[in-house]
Amino acid sequence: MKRTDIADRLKTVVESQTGSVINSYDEALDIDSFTMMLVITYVKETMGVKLDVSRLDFDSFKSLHVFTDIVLKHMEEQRDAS
Amino acid sequence: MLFHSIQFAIFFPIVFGLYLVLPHKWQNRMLFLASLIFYGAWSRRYLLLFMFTMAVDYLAAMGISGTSNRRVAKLLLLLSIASNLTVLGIFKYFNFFAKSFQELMANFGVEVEPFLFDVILPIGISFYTFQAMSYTIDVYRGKIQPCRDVLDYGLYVSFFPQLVAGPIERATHLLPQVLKPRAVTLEKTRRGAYYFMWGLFMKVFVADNLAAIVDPVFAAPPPYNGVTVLLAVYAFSFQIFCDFAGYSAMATGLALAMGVDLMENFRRPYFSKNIASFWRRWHISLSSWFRDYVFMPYYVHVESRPWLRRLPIGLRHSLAFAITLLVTEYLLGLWHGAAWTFGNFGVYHAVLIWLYYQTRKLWDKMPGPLQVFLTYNLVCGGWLIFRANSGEQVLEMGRALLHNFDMAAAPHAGEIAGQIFAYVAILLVVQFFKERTNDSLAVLRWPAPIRLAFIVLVGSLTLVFGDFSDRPFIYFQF
Repeated sequence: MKRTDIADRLKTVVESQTGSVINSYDEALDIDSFTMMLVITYVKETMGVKLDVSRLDFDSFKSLHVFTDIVLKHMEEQRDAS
Repeated sequence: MLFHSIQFAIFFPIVFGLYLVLPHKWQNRMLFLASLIFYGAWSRRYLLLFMFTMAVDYLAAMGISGTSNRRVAKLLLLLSIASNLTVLGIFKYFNFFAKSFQELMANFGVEVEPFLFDVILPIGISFYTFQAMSYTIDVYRGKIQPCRDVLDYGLYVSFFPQLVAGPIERATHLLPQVLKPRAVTLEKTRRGAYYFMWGLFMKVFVADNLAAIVDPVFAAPPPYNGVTVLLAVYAFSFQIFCDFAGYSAMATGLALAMGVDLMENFRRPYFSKNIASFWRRWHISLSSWFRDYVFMPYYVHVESRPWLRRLPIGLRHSLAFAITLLVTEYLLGLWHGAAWTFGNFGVYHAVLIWLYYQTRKLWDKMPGPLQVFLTYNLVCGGWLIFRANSGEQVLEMGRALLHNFDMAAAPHAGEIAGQIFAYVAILLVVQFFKERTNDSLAVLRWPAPIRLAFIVLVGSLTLVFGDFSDRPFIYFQF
């Protein structure tokens, strides 16, 4: 899965949940715990990536850019492990 | 040793003076010793308990980092958490649960005489045990390396400005500041002095004067008048905010003067536009602790339960969130004290947060000031539960608010409302400016004459009308 695909899909989830419009991938996300946990569930369900919550905090959701990097990193680690 | 006591007025200049002349390593040694003296001034007996938990966590963290066996590391982590929770359980919760069990049995006609510990609550126990637990958890999670020097570690746990009432610092934030040399600058001292002055004003002028309005209402027996209850609850909302945020501001100021940056604990919570936002602005160090160490891992656990996994993603998330929120908020409520009212306070907030997320597309469309007003009043509902002496009192007062709102029976209501306004007016103005600029130091950026006038006004009100009696901070009891 390409980086832009992941970012676009995350953008859709966050926008539909919060009702806000994200104009750029670097835009600061004012994300709450409800949306944060939904995104974690969504990533696991639709992308097959189990995020390690002990390594996540609110800074992980600073922007779509930052969070996409985290998802990609987990993807790589899980690919290497299997 | 209260921050606004004579003892502290002697203690701190000595510590600060030594701090200025010592090199980094000896600064840490001296601060650790000073912190033990500070804690020992409250209770010498519990100093040993404090040092015991400190030693267990230090050794557990060293063991965790020293082993490559994940199971051993987990065992050491559990040992550390268990020792902290055992201490907390014995001193804070054991008698409460034992008495509750006794009452429960009595309802079934069974008489039991439970064993009770003859102890008083060690001051700050809920704060320092949580700070210590976050350290071992973060070492286990690989977020930080353990601190090798036991005295530096001791300073991280015991740093006196935040030892007895927070902010509950994270090792990722405070420990690097302990380990590296800190710069004491004139600018930091100036900011620190401002924080301390403002915190002192909040505590002795606003909070302690409002206590004189609040306490008699909650001490009185029913029946209540809704007008009086409403005024008392509004007054309490500012009392508890100024009491606790005032302490945090003073702690921040003292630490900053020594070049240590503590985390922000309150971000103008009464300007929150919804209840979820309120919890991101109120007692941030505690709510973020529960979020990171309880809420998030527990959510993942609940969400992956087989009976939930069959549901569509949206519904599953909503249910898992509700369960997790309820448990987390209940524990967060109980953190405040061993009484069912605190647990109910947590449940009340869990329900409000969940409702907000279910209706937020509608809620967020309301005008901003209306959102702030409604959120503030919902928060006040929580303060009623929090401050009441019993569940019965909550019900009696709630009933009075709904069915006995009698202005004629409260002839002094206008005068009391005027008093509350007089105590909180400056606070509101300052908070408004800080909120507008999103800057907690907005006052220091005002033009010099206005700034000077402000400092003179706040200083005079504090000295002339401040309550410098031994009234402790509300959060000390937690």
